[in-house]
Amino acid sequence: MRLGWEAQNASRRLMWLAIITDIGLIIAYSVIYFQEPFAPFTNTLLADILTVTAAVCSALAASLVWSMYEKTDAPRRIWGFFAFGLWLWVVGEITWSYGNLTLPNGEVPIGIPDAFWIIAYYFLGQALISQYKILVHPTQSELTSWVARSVLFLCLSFVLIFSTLRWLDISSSLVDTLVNAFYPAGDLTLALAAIWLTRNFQGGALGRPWIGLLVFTFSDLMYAWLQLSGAYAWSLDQGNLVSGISDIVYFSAYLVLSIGSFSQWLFLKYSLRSPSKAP
Amino acid sequence: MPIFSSFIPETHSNVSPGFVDILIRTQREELFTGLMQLRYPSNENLIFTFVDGVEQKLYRSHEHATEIIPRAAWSQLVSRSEASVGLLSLSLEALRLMRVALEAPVAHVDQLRLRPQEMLENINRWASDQNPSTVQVKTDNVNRWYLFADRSSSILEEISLRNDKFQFSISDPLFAQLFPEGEHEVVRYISSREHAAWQEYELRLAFNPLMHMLMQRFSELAGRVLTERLCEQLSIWAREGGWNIVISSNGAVNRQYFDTLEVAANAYTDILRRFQTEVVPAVGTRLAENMFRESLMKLPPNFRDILNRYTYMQFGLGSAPLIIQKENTKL
Repeated sequence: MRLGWEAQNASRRLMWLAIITDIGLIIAYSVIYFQEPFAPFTNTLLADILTVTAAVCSALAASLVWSMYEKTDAPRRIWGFFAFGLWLWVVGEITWSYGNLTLPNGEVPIGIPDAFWIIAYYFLGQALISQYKILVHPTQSELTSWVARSVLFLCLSFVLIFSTLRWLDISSSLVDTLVNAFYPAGDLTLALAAIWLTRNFQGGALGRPWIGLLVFTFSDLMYAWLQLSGAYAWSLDQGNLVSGISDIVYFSAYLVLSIGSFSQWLFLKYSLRSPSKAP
Repeated sequence: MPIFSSFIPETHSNVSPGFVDILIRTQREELFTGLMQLRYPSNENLIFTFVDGVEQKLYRSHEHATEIIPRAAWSQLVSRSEASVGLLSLSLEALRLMRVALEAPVAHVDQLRLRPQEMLENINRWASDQNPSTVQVKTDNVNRWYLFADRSSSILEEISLRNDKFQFSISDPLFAQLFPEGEHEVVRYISSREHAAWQEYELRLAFNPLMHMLMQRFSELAGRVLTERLCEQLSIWAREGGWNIVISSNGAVNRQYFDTLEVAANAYTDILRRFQTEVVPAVGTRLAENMFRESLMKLPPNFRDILNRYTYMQFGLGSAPLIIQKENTKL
């Protein structure tokens, strides 16, 4: 990008531009959600378009980071997996939005979107494993043990949530319960890994995307918890704030994730340059 | 060590102090790098070292030791008549080796006659000796000098004198394999590791692999593009600081002549500090500290000790006990 700015200024200005754009998107989403200024279908359409846009922003930012690394660079592998996982979430959002706009009452059953969302966890997991390998240089047995512990944690939390859901009898079918139990379990596992990475990078620019992922997984956890406890449906029926806040947090989390990746891209592109060198 | 002085070719004899002064000024103008020897009838032997036309030090050599003359006394010492002047042009690398040979005290001299095979057997012993040494080997028409200071590396710095020409090269502990059969005269000047000249020499040898490992680790975390930019930034910064040190992803290309250990230690510390300043915004404080710790731990013990003593201790990135303590701590 040639803007005629000095590297430091370009980086700062683009970052502010991204933040202001994101705030604008959050405001637009909130207005559409709470004020419902248009016809119901248009409101839903715009809200869905904004959600897909936010998801595209995060996937695009991760892809930009991926493109900054050369083929021989170890981090390229991380960002390849990470970006692919986020693009799968984009497809998940698009297919969900299609269902939301075309199905009666906008209720999207467990199905194709969830397939994309769930498969994405595998690629995000691979990204985390690649980052772990670069950070720690584990031996094969250490790596196996780390992965085994993560999978065990995922399975245990999944079984626990699944059992709770079955006991509460919230989800209607077995498949619904399985899928609904997977999201919080997967988010919790990703969140723990993201906390570990954020702690290791301790304020470094290369750790910012992991902070984004952390925020995303927590917002997703909150959404999942509200869904599973029935609070979300109740709030939606009552037209109160809980479901709205949850949806806005979920929407914002995509943008936080995109800001995290975008700031890493800016760092890779503009940092460590002499002030005299134009980007 | 006076041994080199006999190899410096005499260019002017019996000259006046005024002419010596003209010769010194000529070397300044010609940006001369090398040695200038002044011999007096009283058997007194003075050696100036020049780097890019600037006099660095003046040595007065005795039989097995060399004394460094304070700058204030230079004019008085050279303002005597009947001087015989010799000039020896050297590369910067050769001059750095000379500096060690001139300044390091000789505690003991071993005179041996060895065949190449016997020499190979001795080389390992010399290399692993606690005390560093300068080894002179005479073969046919060639004189060679080697510095044995680095107990862990396979790198040996060598100066060879062939047909009145000194040449610096990097050799390895198998150098004797190339010597012709038969016995060769070997003189080993054993010195003390604690002397500042050896410490500075070893610190320079240790700094390069440290930088290489730091860059390699940063490249793993941040990629090649950012690493290249970091190298460029550090090199520009070093150049602006007046040091002829270029940082690359393979380590440091060090063409700086440090005349004291203290100046060298400060320069290396400043470069490491700058490296830290540049990488912290990318990888964070914790990872930056880990990079330093891991790189240091991967180095051979003698390199680790010397870096810890003269650089790490100065900017608080883990003193020896802290590093050892942290060695057991995973990320």
